Amino acid sequence: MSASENKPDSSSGGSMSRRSFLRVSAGATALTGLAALAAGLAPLRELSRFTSVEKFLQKHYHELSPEQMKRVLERIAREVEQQYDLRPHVRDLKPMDGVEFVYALNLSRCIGCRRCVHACVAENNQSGDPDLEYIRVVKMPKGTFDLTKGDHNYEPEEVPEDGYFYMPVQCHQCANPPCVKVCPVEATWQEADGITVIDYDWCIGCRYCQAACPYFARRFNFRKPRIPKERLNPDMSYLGNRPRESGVMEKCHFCIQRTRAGRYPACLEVCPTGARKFGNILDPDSEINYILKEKRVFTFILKEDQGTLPRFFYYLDK
Amino acid sequence: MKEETKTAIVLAGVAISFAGLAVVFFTLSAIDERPAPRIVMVDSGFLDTSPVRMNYAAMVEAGEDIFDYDCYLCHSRREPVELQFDELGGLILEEHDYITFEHGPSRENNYCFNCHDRDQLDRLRTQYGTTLTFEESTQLCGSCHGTTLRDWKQDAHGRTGGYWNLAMGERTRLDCTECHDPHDTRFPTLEPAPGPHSMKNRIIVSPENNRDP
Repeated sequence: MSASENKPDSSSGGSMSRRSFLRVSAGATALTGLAALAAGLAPLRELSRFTSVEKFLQKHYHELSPEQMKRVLERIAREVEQQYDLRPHVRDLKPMDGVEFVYALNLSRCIGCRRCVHACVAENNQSGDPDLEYIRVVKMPKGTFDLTKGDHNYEPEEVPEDGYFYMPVQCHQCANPPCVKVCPVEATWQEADGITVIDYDWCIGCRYCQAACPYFARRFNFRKPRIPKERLNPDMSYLGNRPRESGVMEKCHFCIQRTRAGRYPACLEVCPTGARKFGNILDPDSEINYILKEKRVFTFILKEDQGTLPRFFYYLDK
Repeated sequence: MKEETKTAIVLAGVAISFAGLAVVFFTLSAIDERPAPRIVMVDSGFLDTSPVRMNYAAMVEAGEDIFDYDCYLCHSRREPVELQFDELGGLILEEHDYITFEHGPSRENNYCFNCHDRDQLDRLRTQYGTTLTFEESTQLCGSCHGTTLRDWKQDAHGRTGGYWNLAMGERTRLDCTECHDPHDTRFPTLEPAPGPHSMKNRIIVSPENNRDP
């Protein structure tokens, strides 16, 4: 508004003064701003249904006393029961002394039947909608090791197909994990038994770890995960398969709720060919120790040049 | 009407409409309880951890009909079995013609008495002359496939289940014949479980159209 236009208006006295204009517009702006703020905060109403003050004030995993952890597990059990009408058995299993987990997968045995993928989904309470899977199975032509020729979406009547081999890829539980280094809030770390875990209550969802992982092993919950009630696995672990919220990362944790209780991971148990092998590398009598000593392992460290030192090995029968 | 009043009315209108919008937004978010679409999960058959086939021992345990293994229902203990061959050396089968012989890379391990005992048809016989029952078939396989038996004993060959930590629980281990048909030893082909749906809309790079120009 120019001064020449303003002058005749103010002299006629019919129009508003500068002061009253500002007063009215300030009031209107404040009102509109409040309304916008209210609208902007609306998603918080939904959040309040699931987030308790308790969860909001919860300390980092490493700072929780056993007493506090007990209360946290109780809260999780309560929340799960509220949502799924099922009382879960939530634990926080600690690493065992003298145990370091290593996984080995026999590429000459894998037939690409994808049973491991779905056993993992069922065991670890992964979202069915949107669907989220920790394990990918890559089909590649025999005689190459060229991932650019890989195919995830094969759907033949029967597997294996002639001329192809199959390579399942999941979290390699690296001894030098790039994902842990990039986490700005220490929501993911490597445990004493070699499992890289995520605290879903601490994760801020920045997805740096997903970008850092050379194996594309980490998954992000873009939406709230949905699991059918009848498929919920009630045997849960804090760092493992308890239900996640939207906006957090998750990945394979070697079925921490099973392996720290002495059992094999779900993907291994369902594998019909016995291509998957798992155990304590520090035990000289374990099968995994035998395999790493006796089988052709070393040429198949995936992306060895990244220096990640995986605890997941591919091998061939001698 | 005065310009001042007009402006005030307009501004008030704008403010009220925004406030109204906020109210609508709140109400909608509060009543947004539409029934969510059904979650499609994989067929539970793909999650089954039982072995791919039932061997003799498993059939006995499950109380299945083991009529097929009762050799002397048809054979006589006094008359030894004579095998018949055609001019090319192929085995001529009259009764057991449902058996596919696909054992070994040349598929030529089709001579019945390489594994079955000629004199006791319900027994097995290793190449070293040891007689074994059908339940002990793993020993028989191992008498030729020694390195595989060694791996199996270490749990490095074959499917395991249960506990990796033997101090905490038991480990299950399968016999050879729970995965391999002794007459047709290649592991059977299986129907693959569904692929990753979240990747359905991606461009699939097939090996055919990914060749170097």
